[in-house]
Amino acid sequence: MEKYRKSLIKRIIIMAVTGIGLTLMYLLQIPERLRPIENADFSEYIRSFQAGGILVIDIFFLYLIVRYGMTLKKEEQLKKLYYAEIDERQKFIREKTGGRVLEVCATVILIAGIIAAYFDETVFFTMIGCSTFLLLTRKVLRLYYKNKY
Amino acid sequence: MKSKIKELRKARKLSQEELANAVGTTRQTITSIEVGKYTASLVLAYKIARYFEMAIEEVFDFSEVEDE
Repeated sequence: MEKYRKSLIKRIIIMAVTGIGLTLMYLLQIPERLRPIENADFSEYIRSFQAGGILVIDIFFLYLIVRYGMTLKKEEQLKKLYYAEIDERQKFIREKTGGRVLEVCATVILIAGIIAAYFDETVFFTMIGCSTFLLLTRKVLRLYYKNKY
Repeated sequence: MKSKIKELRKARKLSQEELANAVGTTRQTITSIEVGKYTASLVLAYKIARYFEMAIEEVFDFSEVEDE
């Protein structure tokens, strides 16, 4: 359990650093974002998407940090979370729905899409659409297999 | 795969949550095994049988699995 406790602390640190990094990246771009849209390098939609995306990621990380922080204080909660993570049925369902490969692919496509937004709007929309489709398909399959097994 | 987990659990007045915690799994997995939706792995089956101080074949019915 001590090993798992350390891994949770590591996750908290990684999420905190990533969250702060993303927020700093956004704050550093504020002068560009304040420029009138006709002189800006990318459209209002992409600007808003990036701002919204960073906000969602930050809120999600904050939620997980608080959740893990509270779990670390209670031994019983820690055990429950550990069992939920190593649960063989969950692992089986995860494997059936593409496992980590699908999650990694969807995330990489999403990040690539956000970067592509700086160069081409069409590529941005295509990649975001592709990533959303992958994540939605996985979610639907997970619901199906959770009901089946 | 059929199992006697529900009967054994009820006889010992155990909840699914308590059994799940004792064998290191989740309540949902115990539910799925009890209703026969999910087939437990050998390791989990062994842990459950050991918890009830019985042999695996006394807790789980492998006859249907052998037929497949």
